Amino acid sequence: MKRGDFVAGAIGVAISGGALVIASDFPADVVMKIGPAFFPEMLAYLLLLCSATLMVNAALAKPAVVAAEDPPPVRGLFLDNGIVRAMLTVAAVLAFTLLLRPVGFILTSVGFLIAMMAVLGMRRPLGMFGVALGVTAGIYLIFEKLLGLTLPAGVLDSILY
Amino acid sequence: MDFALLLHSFGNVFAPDVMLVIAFGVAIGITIGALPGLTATMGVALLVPLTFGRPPLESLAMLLGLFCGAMYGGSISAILVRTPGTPAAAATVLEGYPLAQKGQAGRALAMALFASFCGGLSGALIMTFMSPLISTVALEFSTVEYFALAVFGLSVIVSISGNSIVKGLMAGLFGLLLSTVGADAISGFPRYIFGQMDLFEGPPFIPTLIGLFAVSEVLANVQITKQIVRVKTVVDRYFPSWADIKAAWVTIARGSVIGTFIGAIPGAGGDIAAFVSYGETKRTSKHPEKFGTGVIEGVAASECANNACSGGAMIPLLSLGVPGDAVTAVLLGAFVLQGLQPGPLLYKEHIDVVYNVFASLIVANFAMLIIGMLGIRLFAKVIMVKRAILMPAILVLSIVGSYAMRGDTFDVYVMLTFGVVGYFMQKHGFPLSPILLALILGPMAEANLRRSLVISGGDFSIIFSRPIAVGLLILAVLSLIASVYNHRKIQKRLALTDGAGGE
Repeated sequence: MKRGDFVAGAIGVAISGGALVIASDFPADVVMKIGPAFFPEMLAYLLLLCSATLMVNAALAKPAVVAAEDPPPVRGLFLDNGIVRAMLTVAAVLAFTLLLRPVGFILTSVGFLIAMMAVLGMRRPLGMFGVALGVTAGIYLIFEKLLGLTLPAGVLDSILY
Repeated sequence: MDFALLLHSFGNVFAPDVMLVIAFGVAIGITIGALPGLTATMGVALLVPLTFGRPPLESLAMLLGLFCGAMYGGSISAILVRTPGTPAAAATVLEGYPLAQKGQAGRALAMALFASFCGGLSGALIMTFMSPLISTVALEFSTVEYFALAVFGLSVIVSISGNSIVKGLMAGLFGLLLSTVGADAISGFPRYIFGQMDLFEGPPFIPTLIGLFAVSEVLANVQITKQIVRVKTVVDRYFPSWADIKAAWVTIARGSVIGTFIGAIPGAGGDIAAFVSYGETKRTSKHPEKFGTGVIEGVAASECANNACSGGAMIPLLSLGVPGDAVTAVLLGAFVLQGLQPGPLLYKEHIDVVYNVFASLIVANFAMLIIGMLGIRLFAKVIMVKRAILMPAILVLSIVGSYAMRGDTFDVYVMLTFGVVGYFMQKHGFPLSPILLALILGPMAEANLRRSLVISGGDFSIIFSRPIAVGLLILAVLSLIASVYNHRKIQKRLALTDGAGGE
C-alpha cells in the first residue's frame, strides 16, 4: 500500500463529498433543469471517481521503495530538519501577515527577512541586516513610488508621511 | 495581417520607457530562469503585481520580456550546474552539461543563446502571421466550440503533466471545482463561499497562483541543504562560431517550427517542445550514438524549441483566449487585470493591443540576445546566490504582491493556503499546471456548456452538432488515451536528466 496516495485519494473523496453535499442546497433553475449545481456536481462525481481509483490503486500497490535520504546537511546548521524549516517558514509568513497592518511593512519585512535567513542557516548578523534592509527598501520603493500602491506604514506612520 | 499597424506598433514599442521595461523584464527573466527552482511561471506570477496600475503596453511588454528571458535563462544552470533552471531546459542538460565538463561551457552557452534567439524570433513571427488568421476562424465559433476548446485544453495539460494520469485528472478536476467558487456566472448564485464576501468573485487569481507556483516552491526549497556545485569553466564566448552555426542551422530551423506548433497546442509547453525537438535531431543525426556526450546540435535543438514555444503559446491565447501553457495562463491573468479579455473579440475591439503584443515579443527577442551576450558572466554567477537570501526575498515579494492589489490580508492567507496545498500536491506527484489552466478554462467551459444547453433546451446532443467541436472533443479523448502510452516513455527520458524538478 502506498500511504501517501491513499491519503491523497481520501482527501479527494472528502472534497468531492463536501462539494456534493453543499451543491445539493443550490437552488434549482426554474426554467432550465441546468442550474448552478449542475457543473460542480458533475465535477465532484468525476473527482470522486478518480479519488476512489487512486485509493484502490494505492491500497493494491506494493509499498514504494524508500529512497536513500539526502546526505546529512552541511556543517552546523541551527535547524537540520527540513520539515521543521518548512513549518517555520509557514509560521513566519503567518506572523508577517498578522503584523503587516499594525506594525507596518518596513519593520515587519526587515524582521521577517532576518528571521528567515537565520532559519535557513545564515550566521552573519551584519550581512543579514544589510540584505534585509536592501530587499525591503527595494520592494517598498517599487510598490510605493513606482506603482503608487500603498503598503501599511504601521508604527512608522508619522515618520513616513 | 496589417503591416501598417505592425509598423505603427513597432513605433510604440520603441518608446524609451517601453524599451526600458522590456530590458528589465528580460534581465529579470534570465535571472529567474537561471535560478534552479524558479520557473518562468513563477517569475511571471511574481511580476504580475508590478503591473498594477501601469498602462497595458508597458505591463505586457515587461511580462513578455520576462517570458522570453526565462525560457533562455533555464539553459544557463542546465549547462553549468546540470540542473535545468526551468523544466523547459531539462533537455538542454543532456548535451549542455557534458560540453561544460569538456571545458566548452562558453561554446554551449553561446549556442543556447543564439538558438534561443532564433527560435524565439521564429515563434514570434509565426505568431504574428498566424494568430490573426485563427482569430478570423474563431469569430465563427459558437458556445459549443468554446466548450470543446476548453475541454481540449484541459485534456492536453492533464495528459502531459505529472507521472500519473489519475493524479493529473484529479488536479484538473480540483482546479475546475475551485473555479466554481464564487458567484455563478449565469444565475449569480454564490457557490462555496462559506460566507466570505472576499470569495464572491471566485478565488483571487494572483494570490492563488503566487501561492501555487512561488510559495510552494519556496517551501520545498527551504528544506534543501545541498550546495550547488558549479563546473569550473571559463565563459569565453558570446556568439557561436561559424562552424557551430553551420552545423546547427537545420536543427534550429526544425526546432523553431516544432517548438512553435507544440507551443500552440493548448496545454503543451516548452518542456515537451524541447524534448520532441531534441529527439528529432538525434533521430535524424548521422551520429546518433554521440548524443549524450556533448553534441552542440542537441543544445541548439532544445533551446530553440523551448523559446519558439513562447510565441507558439501566445497564438491560442490571443486568437482564442485559451492559454497555450502555464506561463500564458498567468499572462491571461495579466491581460484581464488590464481590462482586456484575450480572444477573437480582442481583434475587433483592441487590435492595437494585439499588434503591440506582436511587436513587443519580437523586440523582446532582440533584447534577450543583446542582454544575454552582455550579461552572460553575471548571469553565470547569479545561479550561485544563496538560497538563504533568495527564498526569504521571494516570500516578501509574494506577500506584498498578493496584498497590494486589494490591500486585503485575506488575499495573503489565500496565497499561503495555496502555497501549502501546492507544496503537498507536488510532493505527492500531483501536477500544479492543470489547476492553473482549470481556473482559467473552468468558467469558460461551464458558461459555454450551459449557454449551449439553454439554446438547445437542455438537449446534450447539441455538443455533437458542430464539426469543429466534435473534432476537438475527439482530440481531447485521444490525447488522454495517448498519454497513458506515452507517459512511461517521457518519464524515462525525464529521469535520465536527473533532478529535472518542477513539473
